[in-house]
Amino acid sequence: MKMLKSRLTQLALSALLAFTASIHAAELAKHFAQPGGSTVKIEGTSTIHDWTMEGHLIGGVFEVDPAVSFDPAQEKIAGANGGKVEAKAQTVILVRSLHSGISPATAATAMDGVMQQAMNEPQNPKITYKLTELKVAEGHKANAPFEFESTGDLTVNGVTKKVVFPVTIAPAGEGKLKIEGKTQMKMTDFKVTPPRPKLGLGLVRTADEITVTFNWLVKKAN
Amino acid sequence: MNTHEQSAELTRRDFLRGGSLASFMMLMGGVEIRAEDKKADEPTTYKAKANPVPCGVIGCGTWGRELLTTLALLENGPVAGICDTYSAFVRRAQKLAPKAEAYDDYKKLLANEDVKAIIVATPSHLHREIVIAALEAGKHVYCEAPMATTLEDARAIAAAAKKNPQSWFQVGLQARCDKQIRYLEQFIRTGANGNPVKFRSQWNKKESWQRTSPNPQRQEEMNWRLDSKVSLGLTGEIGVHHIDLASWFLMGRPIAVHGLGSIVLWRDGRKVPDSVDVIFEYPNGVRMVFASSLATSFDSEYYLLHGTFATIMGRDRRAWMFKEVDSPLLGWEVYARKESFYKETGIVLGANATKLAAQGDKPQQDASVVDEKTPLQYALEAFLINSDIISRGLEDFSSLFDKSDKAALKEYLVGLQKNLVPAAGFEIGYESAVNVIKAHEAITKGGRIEIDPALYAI
Repeated sequence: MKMLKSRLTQLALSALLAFTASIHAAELAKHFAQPGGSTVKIEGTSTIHDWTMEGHLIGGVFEVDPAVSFDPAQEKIAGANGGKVEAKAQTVILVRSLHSGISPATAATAMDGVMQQAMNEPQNPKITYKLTELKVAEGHKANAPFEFESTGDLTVNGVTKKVVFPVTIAPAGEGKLKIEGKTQMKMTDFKVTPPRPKLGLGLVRTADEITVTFNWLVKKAN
Repeated sequence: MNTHEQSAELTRRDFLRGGSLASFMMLMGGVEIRAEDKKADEPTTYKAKANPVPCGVIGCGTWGRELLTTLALLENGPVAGICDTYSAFVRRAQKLAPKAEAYDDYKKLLANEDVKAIIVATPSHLHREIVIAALEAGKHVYCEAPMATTLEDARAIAAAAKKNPQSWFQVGLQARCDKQIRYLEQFIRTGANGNPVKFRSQWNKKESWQRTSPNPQRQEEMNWRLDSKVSLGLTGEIGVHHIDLASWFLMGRPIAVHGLGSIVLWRDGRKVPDSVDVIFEYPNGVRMVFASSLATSFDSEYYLLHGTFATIMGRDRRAWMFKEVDSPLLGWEVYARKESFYKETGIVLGANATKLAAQGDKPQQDASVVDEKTPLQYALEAFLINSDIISRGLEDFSSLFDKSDKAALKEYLVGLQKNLVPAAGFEIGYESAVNVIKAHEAITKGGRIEIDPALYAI
């Protein structure tokens, strides 16, 4: 009787342990955005000259399966299941934090103000990205950061679109990760009308196509 | 495409007339992009308005009231507070800022949380305490020039500004914001005037500077400019703008200074000279001479930048270039407007030549109205826009990250500075103060005063 009781307890305990273990396996490791070390660049062109908007604040959190290692020295990524890495992310960029580096002579003609108006900044102050899938890319070069295909929902000017683009992820020391990516898109995809300010003597027409480059520094929470 | 070609044609003609920066940009060439439908050819109107930055003005004397008059022209500079220890000044200032709250104690004004920016127009030797208190209260600060009257005060202000990057600190060296002068500076950088030979400037105005009041205590206060215990005299109050212009144009710092001062007219017991002559030694044998007098008004104010190929003269925000006979020909000068000065012929250098083109085929039109905006207006506009950019940067950072992470916040705010309207920040303000304090030392002590480069470090 005693033996049966202790056997049952043993089974119950191990079941409980297995149960909690499975919950922990599903819990992703949170990596919070760092206040410095991130950059987002939006490059485009116009009838006058090329232009760049740059921001240094990328907020949010990147969550990834704690079993995954991004060490570039590996041949294959540890912890990847079926070519995918279990990950989630929520990223926020404030439209206001994007600057052209062209100092404003007056508020109305300043390039920053022009872009903010084109993006309806007061109504839509944030650009957000929600990662839904992270697929490992084929062919890893020795000691180079691992490449992935990132699928997610990008919201700009209140318009959400599914976007897919390549990213690299590599450790950056002290529990940090550096996530970098580059992609092309069109302003009109998000119902943003390319600005047409009248400057000097001419009408400046901004091109619709833009290139977005970012590098995001996140750090694992303790 | 037609519109593009037409506008290119117009700019070439205009460029040859006066060479403005806007037209030069157009000539850099365009990039072909896909044609859009006709409707898309219309320009978009940008309704962007500058965010208001409520200000408090401390020091409501003559210049304080000039600041208030200029602020009244700016829709983004509402005056929320005015302060002066002398109640008559506060009453006069109230007429210029009827909605502002009046204070006699600057500490109470600083405690007003609605006030985001402080403009300090008190006597120069009183800047330090007020400016540092304002910076520590988290306000943006516009401090009139000269920033301070002693090295210790100047250093303290500069250090406080450096320590508080969430406050935008600007010194009242208006020329740094003046569109006309900035245009001229860019022209000088093209090297059209050759290597610098010397810089000469003067400021003459026959006036006493002595003010009277039935109240002896008030009389002493209002005559701080003539108080040898606290005043830098003409050198500091007027010369600071000139020495800053010289250092800016020459892109250098003086290594030594000589100065002489005397009283030639106003022998009323004052000890502060009414006539000064100051010589700054710059590297490579270049000197800057500043001559100023309260005993004569002749020829008022001007500056001359002598160069090996040409001399540039600036008067009343206008500028001319006087070429040497052996200097290379600049293609556009053949069509440029010229004016005669006795035996010299000067080529007119001016920003806003596009405005002349817009007036039609009248390049010889009288350009007596150089610019509707005063340099002070440019400076205050810059101050308000920059204060707003820094404030919003702080807000953006705080909404995503912990603002108590001082190092990261500072890194972010300092990184924002390249997006600001060009203006004289604390480094330029400090440098100009060091220069005039040393010049004043040369006048009072005599001899050649060396300026140790280490002095400029903050």
